[in-house]
Amino acid sequence: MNRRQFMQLSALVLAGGAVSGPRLAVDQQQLFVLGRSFIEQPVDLFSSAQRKLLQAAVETIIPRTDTPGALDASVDRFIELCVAQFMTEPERTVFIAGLDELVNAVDQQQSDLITLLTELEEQHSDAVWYQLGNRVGNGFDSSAPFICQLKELTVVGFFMSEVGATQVLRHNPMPGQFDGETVLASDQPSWARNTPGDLS
Amino acid sequence: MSDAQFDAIVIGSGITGGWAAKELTEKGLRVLMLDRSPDVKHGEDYHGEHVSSWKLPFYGKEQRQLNDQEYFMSRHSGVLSAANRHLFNNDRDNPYQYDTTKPFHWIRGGGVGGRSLLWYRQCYRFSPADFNANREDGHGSAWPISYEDIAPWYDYVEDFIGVSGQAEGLAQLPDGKFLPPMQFYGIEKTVKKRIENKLPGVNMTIGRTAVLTENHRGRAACHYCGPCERGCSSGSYFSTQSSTLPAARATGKLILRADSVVERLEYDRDTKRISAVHVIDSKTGERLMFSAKLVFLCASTIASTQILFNSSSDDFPNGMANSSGVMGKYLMDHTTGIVATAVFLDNLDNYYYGNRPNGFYIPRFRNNLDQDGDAEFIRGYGFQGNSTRPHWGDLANQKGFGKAYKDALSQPGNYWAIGLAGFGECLPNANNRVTVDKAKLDRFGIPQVRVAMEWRQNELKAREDMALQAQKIFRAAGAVFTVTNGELNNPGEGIHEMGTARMGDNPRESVLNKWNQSHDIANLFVTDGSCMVSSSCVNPSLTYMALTARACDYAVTQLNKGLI
Repeated sequence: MNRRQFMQLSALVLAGGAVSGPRLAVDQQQLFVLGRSFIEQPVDLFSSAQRKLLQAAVETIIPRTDTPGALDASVDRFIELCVAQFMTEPERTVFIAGLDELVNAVDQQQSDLITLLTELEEQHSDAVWYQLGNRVGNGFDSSAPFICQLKELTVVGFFMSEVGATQVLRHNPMPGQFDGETVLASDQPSWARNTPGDLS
Repeated sequence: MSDAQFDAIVIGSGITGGWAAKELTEKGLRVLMLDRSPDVKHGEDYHGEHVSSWKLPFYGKEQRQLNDQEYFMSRHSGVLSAANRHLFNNDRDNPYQYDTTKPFHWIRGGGVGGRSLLWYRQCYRFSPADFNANREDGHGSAWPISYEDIAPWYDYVEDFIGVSGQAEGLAQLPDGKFLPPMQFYGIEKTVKKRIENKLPGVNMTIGRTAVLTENHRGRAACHYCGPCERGCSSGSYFSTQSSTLPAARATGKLILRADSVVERLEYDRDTKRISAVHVIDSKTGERLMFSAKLVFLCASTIASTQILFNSSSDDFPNGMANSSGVMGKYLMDHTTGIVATAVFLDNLDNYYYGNRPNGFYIPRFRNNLDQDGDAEFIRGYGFQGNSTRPHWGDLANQKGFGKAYKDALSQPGNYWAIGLAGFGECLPNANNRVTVDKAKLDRFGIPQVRVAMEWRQNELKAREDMALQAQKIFRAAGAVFTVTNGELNNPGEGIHEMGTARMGDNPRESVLNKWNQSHDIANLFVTDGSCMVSSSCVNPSLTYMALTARACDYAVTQLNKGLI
């Protein structure tokens, strides 16, 4: 911890007493200062059966190939945090019901997960989430069915993670210059992003 | 602090307050700068600067419930995030009133430096035609100054803040003193060539921006990290903290007092001067009073108007410095919200390196010399544009799982997308106005402002034209697919609110004279956006800076002559 970080943290600790309610900004700033990843915090929402299914689902969506996959990036943990703290109550209800249906379906039908996920995707193919021009950004589509919630959080949880940003995408936080005409080689990954959507 | 310490009090520390503090201290005055918000120290308090995506709460997805409750206006800025929330106004704690069926969204900074830390940094000069527009078509009142009056002050502020851009020799967008321009994307070069070949009179230039492309006056060139709105400890974009505040402090004549809410100004009938500034310390609740020979009101358009209304007295029953009765009226903003997006299949073997904190600009091309025959509106608009090579966020909403999905999302999409956002001029209209509501007090017991504004016929007609012309431009540019959002944003969301204490030669029709000095009170100057007489269609901050520097020069000259 350098001086600037120490000063910031001291100020935050002092300010902490006066803070209550939804003013999470102080905790968040402590996270920045301590340099921890967002997912390195406790969360205890899902049962072990739900967790096991979620792990299998995220790895099915983004598997480990010659580069790391969703589980390498702890995407399951990101999603559990999002469902617990980011989602609204109706969104959370949709997600947990969807997750439980998958748990039951796998238990009862012995169907493989990719088949079940593909069926879900077909069932909901008219969802707004799939519409042309729609994109995964900073917001969240409250009308999204479970399968779309799952895919969106998997994608964000993967490509914004340290593993996804640095080992799968290209990450350069301090480019030092701008060149709008570099040559794009085939199979060259995209640049990692500062935010999921379009804040600069 | 004893009252006698100060020659001038500057209220507000944003773009214009910072400039006033710099100019007045450099001319030898002892200045007290007040700001209602907590201090934000350069570098040290940019908590979110260079924070990795995986350290942001929810990796940067919007914390909707927090924003719904406390930042429901700030969120409309488009640049609010967990990485800079402390730089924004808390909208729950600092309320104002408006008719919810005709919303006006007032987007404010929440720290010292104000919106200078959060702005989009575009710097365009008003043109000679802009300063003549009201006089020629009869809307609003005439500007008391011409382009020639302000041109040397544009030079002066550009030279200090550092504006990168390309000289184009266009009458409607005068060139300035530029640092080297930022580079275009390859696709933009292609598009520019096609547009300028096929559409005479339509030009495309790189954004003129207060971001440094080379080291400048002790500040470092941009390192292209991307999110300027988190603050920049290398001072590579203009803010109060990076530029004017250090200059003012270097004189040893500045005292900055944060957490100081100005409740009202006090007028002395005998001297006909502002005799005191009444302040509430937002942390302790303590009431304080400061006096100085000069008062520069730079609190932002609506806040400055609020302070003047709340300073009513027997001498000024309708608001301080409001003998004309026009104060609060003629509120303007720029129309925004017309966004057209197009897909291009050119330059696909191009990619990019670095995050350019800037876009391109298509200056006004309608009604430039005379009224265009086919235009059902007067005045004009410009387009700000930007280009993106699609990334995983743009590509995620497709079916599929597994390696193919992962690979498709890991690589840039096979097209370029260009967006055009219209910024339209707003006519001055007396019914677009700011008042105070004495029945609605804030947490300090200060009457809140009430804002009433709506887009009117000319803005709506121009909107239709923007949508049509954007399509025309994209066709000429070779787009394979385009889509347009045709709805205007709510007033306020241009974040260019201005005009409620307009300048003018006639004291019966204006609040300020041609030097931003109150017609009624010689030691009161108002140099933020409230002084504006018309809005042009270009981003106004550079003009506010130039007017502020010019007003400071005049004020000190008058002071030294014993006339104030």
